[in-house]
Amino acid sequence: MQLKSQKLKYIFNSVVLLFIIVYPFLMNMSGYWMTLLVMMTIYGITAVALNIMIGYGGQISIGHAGFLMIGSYSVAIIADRFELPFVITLLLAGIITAFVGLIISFSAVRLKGHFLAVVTLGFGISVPVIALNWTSLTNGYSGMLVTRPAILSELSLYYFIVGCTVLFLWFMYNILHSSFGRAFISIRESEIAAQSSGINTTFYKTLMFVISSFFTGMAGGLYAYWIGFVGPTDFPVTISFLLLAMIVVGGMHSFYGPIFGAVLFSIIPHFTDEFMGITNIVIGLILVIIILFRPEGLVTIVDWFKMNKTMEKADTISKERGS
Amino acid sequence: MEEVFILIRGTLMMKWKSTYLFILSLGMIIFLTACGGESEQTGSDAEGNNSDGGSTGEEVRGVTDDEIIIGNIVAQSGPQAIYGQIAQGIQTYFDYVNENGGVHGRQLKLLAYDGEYTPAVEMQQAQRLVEEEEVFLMLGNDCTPCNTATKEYYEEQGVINMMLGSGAQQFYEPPSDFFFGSEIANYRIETRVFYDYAVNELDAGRIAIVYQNDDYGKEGYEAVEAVRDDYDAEVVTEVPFVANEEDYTTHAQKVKDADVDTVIMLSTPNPAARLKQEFHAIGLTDINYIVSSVGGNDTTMFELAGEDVWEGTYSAGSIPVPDAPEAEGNEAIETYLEQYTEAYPGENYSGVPQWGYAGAEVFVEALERAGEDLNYDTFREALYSFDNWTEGTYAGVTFSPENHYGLTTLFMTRAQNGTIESVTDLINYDPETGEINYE
Repeated sequence: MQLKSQKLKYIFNSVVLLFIIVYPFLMNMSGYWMTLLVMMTIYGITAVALNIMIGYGGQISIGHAGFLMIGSYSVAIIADRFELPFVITLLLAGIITAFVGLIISFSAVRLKGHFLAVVTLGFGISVPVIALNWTSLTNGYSGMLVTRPAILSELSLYYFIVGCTVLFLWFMYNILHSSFGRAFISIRESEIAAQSSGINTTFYKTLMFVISSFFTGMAGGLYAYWIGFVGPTDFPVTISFLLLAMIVVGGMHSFYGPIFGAVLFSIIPHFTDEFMGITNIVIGLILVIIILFRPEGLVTIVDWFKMNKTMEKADTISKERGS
Repeated sequence: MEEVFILIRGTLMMKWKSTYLFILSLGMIIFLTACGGESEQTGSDAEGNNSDGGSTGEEVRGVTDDEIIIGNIVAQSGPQAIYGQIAQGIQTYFDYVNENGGVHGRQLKLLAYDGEYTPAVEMQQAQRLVEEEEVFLMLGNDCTPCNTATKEYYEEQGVINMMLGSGAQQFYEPPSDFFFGSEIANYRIETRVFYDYAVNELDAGRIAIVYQNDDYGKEGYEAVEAVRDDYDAEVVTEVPFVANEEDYTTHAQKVKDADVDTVIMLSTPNPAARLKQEFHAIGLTDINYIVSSVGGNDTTMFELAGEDVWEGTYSAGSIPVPDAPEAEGNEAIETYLEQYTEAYPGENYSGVPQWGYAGAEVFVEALERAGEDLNYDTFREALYSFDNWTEGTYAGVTFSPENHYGLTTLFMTRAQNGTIESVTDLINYDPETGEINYE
């Protein structure tokens, strides 16, 4: 049973990967459709990174858009001032964001619940304001143009971003399925129990912040390269709430849940934008419906199917035995 | 330290299937990045057709015998959702034109998408409208940073943007084949007119410039800097502020200490109202207070600042406020009021929706002039034939190959008896010579 489920997972992953590879050709190389998928990948990375903290670690953060903004501005500033290879620039964006995450974590690890939420919210609100007012570094309200690496065409940049996404998700998956992931979960379940089992909770909580902000910063960097512009209005605090909604709707206690959420919330505007002001209403409605009927998130629909199938099988076996 | 070691070991020692996936994805990145080749699209669509001129072969993109599709991206949600009224204004005029037979037998279809005042979203919507919906051109897009982010894309795709909801200089200097006109007066032109009016008509001698420390405020400030030596007046103090500041006490005190007779305030509505309230609080009521049109040319300022406080404030306009005395008998304004209040009963009809409506008037007039054989060449020629066009709600619209500003005619206004009244005839600015002429 376990083996079959693993097999199905690999088939599913391969089909998705194959679809993403041929996607630009299926969509006639449309910039719009490619941007739509790129935004899904960027939000996908960020949502999974956020879920490391919230879903696995039980540490609330409602300011993650701030990390996205730091990552995107890091790429813009480094690319503007230093002639570094773009992969190095991207990596530096992740490191800088992780460093900011480390600083935030110093105060955040001492807090929990609502207090932690307020600290992260304050961070999420203040980053765009700093970007707006630190004109000498960020060019203020005007924002900064980001030159796409000369060696990358639009199509190769698309594949680069997709490749990075697979790589980042793979890293995060492995971190969460290592002893680290187990430590995070134990902190979520009971900090006192975790501590009494010899888990250094302060260290692991700091680590959650650093890992999460690192990958979010990298996602911000990919965003900067794809859009070619960063500005102080790019990641307002509403994006932090949207990210939160992605992991709630997708499923907080699952690795794949936030990815489903990111895909869903990225595709909704495509269908609703023609009707003025309807997008946020639809997102709100979906959120309410999911919380009411599938509080564990969309990802549990897969479990529900699995359960039904098992029940059917059990019924068949019992009927066979009966006859 | 031990934990870090475990992390590294845990990351390195993975199941073989994960390693396989890792190697596969790395290989894929390298292979596909290399395969991506040199398919950078400049000035052409995905199929390689040259799209400059909005045409694909003999067909013109977004134009059929009976329809023209026009795109618009403004914030319809979020804190800047008020700009959604631009799309409402455009739609109102398009409906009016369509009811009267369209333009050369073609109906006008508006596709207005939510840009959320966010460059990334606006870029995505731009790609959708240009590549998927294949619009003829973009009309009335808002948000200066969003327009900055998408400018190169539109130029590469060869798509005209007209009557932008931004008065920033970068879209008009030097003139681009793909950017024509703004819905609101250019910030630099407007401030030049303020300075000229203050010195020559209000006899200002000691002037304070208070400006919002961003693109918007700085453009006006730089315009004054460029001409301050040409006038017999002195800028005695310059006071920058940040748009979301709450307290303007120190700014007001600084202006008072400088002993000025005129203040030119380059800001959005809230700071303009707050500063004038502070002036009143410290007894600075006998000065000329001139506020940029974005921040001051609206009757809602009486509510924001208080009726007594706002009384006497100068500003500028390029479209008459519908309730102002000079709007009486103005046929274009009356049609606007009738159409807009019927389409959106009970909603605000002053200010932002007028921008969209007036921009649509300019667009439709250009379509009329371009004739039945519509393409970008005939359309541009039609725009260049605008020489102080006054039949719409705008005070005057002028285009030429050297002048892509469009709105170079405006009039000064003054807050009086609860409304905004015009206090001058039309004032024309010549972008080529920098001359200001009062009619």
